[in-house]
Amino acid sequence: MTIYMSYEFPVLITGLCFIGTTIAIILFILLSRIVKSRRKEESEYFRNVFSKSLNNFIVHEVYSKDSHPLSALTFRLSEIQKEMNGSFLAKQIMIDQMMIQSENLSGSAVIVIEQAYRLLELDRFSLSKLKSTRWKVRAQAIRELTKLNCLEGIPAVQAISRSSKKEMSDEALMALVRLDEQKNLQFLDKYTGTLTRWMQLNIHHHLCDVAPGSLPDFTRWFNSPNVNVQVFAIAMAGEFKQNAAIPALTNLLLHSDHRIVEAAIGALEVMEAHSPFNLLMAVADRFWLSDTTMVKLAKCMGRLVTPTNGFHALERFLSHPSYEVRFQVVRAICQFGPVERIKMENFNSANGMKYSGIMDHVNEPLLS
Amino acid sequence: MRILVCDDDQMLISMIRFKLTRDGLGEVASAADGREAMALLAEETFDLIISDIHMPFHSGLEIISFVRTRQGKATPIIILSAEGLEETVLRAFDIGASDFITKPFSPSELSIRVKRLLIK
Repeated sequence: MTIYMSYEFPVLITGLCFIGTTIAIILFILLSRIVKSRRKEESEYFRNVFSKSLNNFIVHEVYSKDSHPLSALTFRLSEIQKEMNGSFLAKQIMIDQMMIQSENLSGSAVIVIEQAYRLLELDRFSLSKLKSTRWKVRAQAIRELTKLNCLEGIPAVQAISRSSKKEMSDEALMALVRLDEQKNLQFLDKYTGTLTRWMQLNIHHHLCDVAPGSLPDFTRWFNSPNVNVQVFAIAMAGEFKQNAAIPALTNLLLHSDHRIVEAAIGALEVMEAHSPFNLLMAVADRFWLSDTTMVKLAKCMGRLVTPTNGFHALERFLSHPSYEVRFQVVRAICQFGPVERIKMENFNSANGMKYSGIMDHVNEPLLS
Repeated sequence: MRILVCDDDQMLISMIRFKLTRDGLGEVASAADGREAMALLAEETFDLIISDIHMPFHSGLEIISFVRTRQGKATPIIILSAEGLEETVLRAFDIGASDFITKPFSPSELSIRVKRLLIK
């Protein structure tokens, strides 16, 4: 009997433990589902309520002549405050909606949204999230402060820009580009890291919204110790057609780093700046074996060389070992007009029809 | 007046509906994607259409073609798009868009443009 009991007891305990664990797991799953569905319902409810309130703010546009009387605005705000009742979820939903609407809308509607963000003290909520231990929550808070143009957040964001976590410092730097109009690109002066494509796109996107007269003078970074910053500044000078930068860009053609030279060629091309022919030829001499530089140069020469001397100016490039360079040159010559095209055809005949393939390639619209 | 707003962004639809109704421009129906929009257009008649370019199933450009070519209607169509590329704008006007508004846009401006087209 004792032997039987001692054999059965652990089995019983194991069985009970198993059943207990199973019940606990099922209960946990059930509870989490209930919580999740309640949260979903709650979110849906807040979304509906806030969307109406937000539309009301936007449509009445507090600053327009048909605006709300102040008492009505105060009443609406207190209604929303009551609805939010300190709930984290409610506040977050309201901010999310404000961010979406401010992305779609412009003009006084956006000012109204930003105003509501402050009046509802949601800026404080975003600022408090900057203290979170989770970096994703902090990054989200930075995005909120930036999108809703909360200038009070600048000091806190500046502090985060010195964070050792790359994602955080990048996010903060990009936020400062948008928020801090006085010193928005100042960080580039001392920036030692890589300017990622994401950062470049963000800065470019922001600069597109800036009035041309308020754009920074990009030559300021032409001699930056960071090649990344140099290349980006050169590209931006070209992109925003800063003609005053042409002499500096021309000087950069003498630079020893091919990345700088390529960026300068690209910028000069975009600006259609007629650079000294000898200088461009000197680039060809120095970087003859660099395919990327030569392709850029061939394209640039195609646009900057005047059609009357087009063929002779570019003839030298026709012997380049890279097909891409030869292709760009032939294309440029053909675009110069019928006279230069005939010269190219004669040259082709004189060289045993060596360039017929490239000429066909140039003439085939589906291939070029 | 009956206005159809086609956009996959529900918040934007609700804002446009609110604004146009508030300004007394008419009754606003909505479609969340191109398929729903086409179905509504096939069944009902609208005095004006506001459509996003990029939508699931059918784009705003396809909606213009549907109205102009298949239905042969001259209903004014306003295209709303975050993409303001010259090529897209020209294409939209080429196939029959009446107006093109780039996002972000001002709700008041939209309302005035709608009013102008409805009066015509």
